[in-house]
Amino acid sequence: MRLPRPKVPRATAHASVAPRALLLAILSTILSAFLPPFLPPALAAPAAPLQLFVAEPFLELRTGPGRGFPVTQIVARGESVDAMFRRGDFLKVRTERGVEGWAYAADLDKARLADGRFPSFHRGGLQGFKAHTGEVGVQGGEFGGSKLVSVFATWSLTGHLQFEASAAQFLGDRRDRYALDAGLGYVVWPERRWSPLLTFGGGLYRESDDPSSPGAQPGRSEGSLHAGIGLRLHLTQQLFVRGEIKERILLGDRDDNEDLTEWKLGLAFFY
Amino acid sequence: METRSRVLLLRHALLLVACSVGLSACTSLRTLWGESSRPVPEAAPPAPPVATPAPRVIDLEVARRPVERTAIEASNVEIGAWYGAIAVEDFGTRPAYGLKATYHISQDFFLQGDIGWSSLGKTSYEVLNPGAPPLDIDSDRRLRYYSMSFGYNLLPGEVFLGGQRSMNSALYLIAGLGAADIAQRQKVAINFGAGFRILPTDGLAVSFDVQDRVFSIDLAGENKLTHNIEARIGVTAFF
Repeated sequence: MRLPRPKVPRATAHASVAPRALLLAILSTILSAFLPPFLPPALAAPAAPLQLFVAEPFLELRTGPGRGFPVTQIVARGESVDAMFRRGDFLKVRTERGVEGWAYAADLDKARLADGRFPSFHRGGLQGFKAHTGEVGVQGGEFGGSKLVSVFATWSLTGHLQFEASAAQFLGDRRDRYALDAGLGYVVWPERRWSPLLTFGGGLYRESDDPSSPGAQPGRSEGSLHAGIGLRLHLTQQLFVRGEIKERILLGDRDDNEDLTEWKLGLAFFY
Repeated sequence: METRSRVLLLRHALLLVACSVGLSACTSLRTLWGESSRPVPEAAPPAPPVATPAPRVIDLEVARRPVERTAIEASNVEIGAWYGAIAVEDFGTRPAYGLKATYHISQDFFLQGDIGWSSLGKTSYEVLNPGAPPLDIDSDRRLRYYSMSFGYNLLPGEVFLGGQRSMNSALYLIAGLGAADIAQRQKVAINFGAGFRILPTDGLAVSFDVQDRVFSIDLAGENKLTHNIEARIGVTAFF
């Protein structure tokens, strides 16, 4: 096996990255103020290529980031590749001879870095479902007799506990109705393919009518509290199904708080 | 000469024999002077065989230290714009345009968010009856819609241009959920269809989509479910 060679910066690669780095830095500054958990590492900071030494007998390089693309290059054991960026399950790499291709991240599990460490690439599957950074999903359902469309995101705090945020639009009549929620979710059995889920939190409920429409009612904006139960079921790769039923209480200035039931079901992925 | 060599060899042999005899004598005397009177420790019972790992030439017990996932830049996000046309049932075909953002979850799946703007044309009823009472439509006839869809890369492959140039491509299926604002009436919309994505470079994609956007319309007197075909071309950049 060859000894790891010291990393030599490639001038051409850095020169082409410079304008992009400036753009990414500006985007990063703007977006990080609002959506830091959503930011891919590419927008957070441009990273230098990562040198990996092939430990398997050979490494296959494809023309694209997928199993359907043909294999056109082979890298032998002991040779190194520079991993430039990641897309899905694949890494765009450049060989010592300057040939570029896409390597399946799982094929580089036994590769080594220049300092002897082993890389670890996050992937999906049931193992990733048990422990991941966050989730994003889309759901549809009903709320108080209206249809709803919702998008949600979660961030894992511990194995069981996660912070959740969601935005929902309620549809079916001429009124504009939205809800923004934040809260905590407790995954009862995170190590299993399916698990019950408990949620609770609060948010803002907003309802408004077009003032020009006949019979328009005055709009209102109220706080809300919710608690619910749900179920998560891992499907394949990074995909899973999430369904839940919530009891929502609108904290208006009326004599009685409105108590409305909401159910929704949808598809989500984890990262 | 030969005789001298033989004598030399004979001398060395005799010397070696004398040394051997001397060492044997020393060992015997040591025994005679009482060394043998010491109690000889009893031989320890043979130890039970212990399962020891087979000797290895190279010790591979190296702790795996994971690398931060951010060590490699991710390029999973695709953002861009699209332009096309949507045929709204009873209201004709009108130009449509919008924005889209895609997150590539894996080599197979992606999540795509779309927002689109268009307008409603005139119905046959309005064209044939110029003096008829107007439909219950606000004057602007706006159509806005959004959708959040999951896609599956069904046929990834390559497109060949001549004999020298090839580009990565994928035929994908897509389906999702969203809403449509039809003349200020909010309706749930589902969408499904197929598309074809071509990547001239790793950072640029051109896609062609045909989708059916299904939502109900109650502008012409009855609330009915409509199928509205949208065809479009989009240009996106990877980040």
